[in-house]
Amino acid sequence: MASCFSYALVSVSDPGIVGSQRLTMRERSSETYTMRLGKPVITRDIPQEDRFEVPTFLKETGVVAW
Amino acid sequence: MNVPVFLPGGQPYGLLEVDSREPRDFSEGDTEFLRTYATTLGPVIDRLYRARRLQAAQERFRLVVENALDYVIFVTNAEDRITDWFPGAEAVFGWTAEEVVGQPSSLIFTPEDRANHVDEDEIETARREGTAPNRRWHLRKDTTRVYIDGIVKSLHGVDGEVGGHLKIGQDVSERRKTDEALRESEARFRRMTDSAPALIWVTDAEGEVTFANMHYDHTFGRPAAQMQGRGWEEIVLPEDLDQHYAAFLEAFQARALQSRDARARQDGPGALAALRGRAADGRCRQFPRLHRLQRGHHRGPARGW
Repeated sequence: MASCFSYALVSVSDPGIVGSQRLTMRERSSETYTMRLGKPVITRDIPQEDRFEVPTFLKETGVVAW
Repeated sequence: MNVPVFLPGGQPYGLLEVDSREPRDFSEGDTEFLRTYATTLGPVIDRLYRARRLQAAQERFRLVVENALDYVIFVTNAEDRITDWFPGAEAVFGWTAEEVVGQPSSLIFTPEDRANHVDEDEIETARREGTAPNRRWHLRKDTTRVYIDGIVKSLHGVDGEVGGHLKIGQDVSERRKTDEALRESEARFRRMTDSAPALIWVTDAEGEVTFANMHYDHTFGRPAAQMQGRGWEEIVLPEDLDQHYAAFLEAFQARALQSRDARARQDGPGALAALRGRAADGRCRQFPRLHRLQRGHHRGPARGW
């Protein structure tokens, strides 16, 4: 399994993270959670989310749901 | 929503992620759409990676074959017609790719080899064994000859059938000519020493015999090859051996003429040989020895010269 993620998002407010932002699989993020689960994962609203932590850079974009 | 993307074979690749700045309930339709999308993405990503790897491999292959100018490299199809002719082949044989692609590979065989079906035999061996050695004189475009040392390898298609052949070889004409000249020179030396009415041998820097002429066969009834190393210890009578060896060493170290009698075992004890040696050039440190059998002192039957 991939040991980390590189971001390839295209509609974020800070395009600087594309290709440079990396999340290791050790972190408790929604990304690593989804890869381990192997199925689509939905987060309706982050304040109600307790399955994983939300990385700062994502919070800074104003994203609350995915 | 995060949807995992898997490569064919189930290897995880990454995520397809759709974010929202508003709280949102993703519907069953959204999930299905993204899941389908992610399922399609896996094989597409895989193909892109494969294409990139293939391109990199082709580029490496091209770099290798186009820079190996000392090596003949070309490829033929199942009908043994040339399909790929690389710069090394052009440099060695003189034909350009435009001139030979589509031609039978027997083009580079000499007329004698073609008459003896060497070209067909070679391909047949490669088909049967997988590879066949290819060591012979070949023909250049300008009809001069070039000695190639190489192999022919069968190339198998996806169906396992032989789809053609890869030929790789090196132009070793110069080495071949040097070897042949050396062999001729050795043969000439042997003929000369064999025609001289004397026992002649040559030692190396350690005094070990490396060559003996044919008169050893006749005189001592043993092949001259048995003289190699310390063969003379078998010929000289045991009681004369120490003296003989000391005399030899003395002359060998002094690089000087030496004359000494020693009795040989030839056909029973008593055959007498006068030993004369002379060191050759100090640089090559060899020691040709002339061994002349003295007929007058010789009591056993003499065979040879």
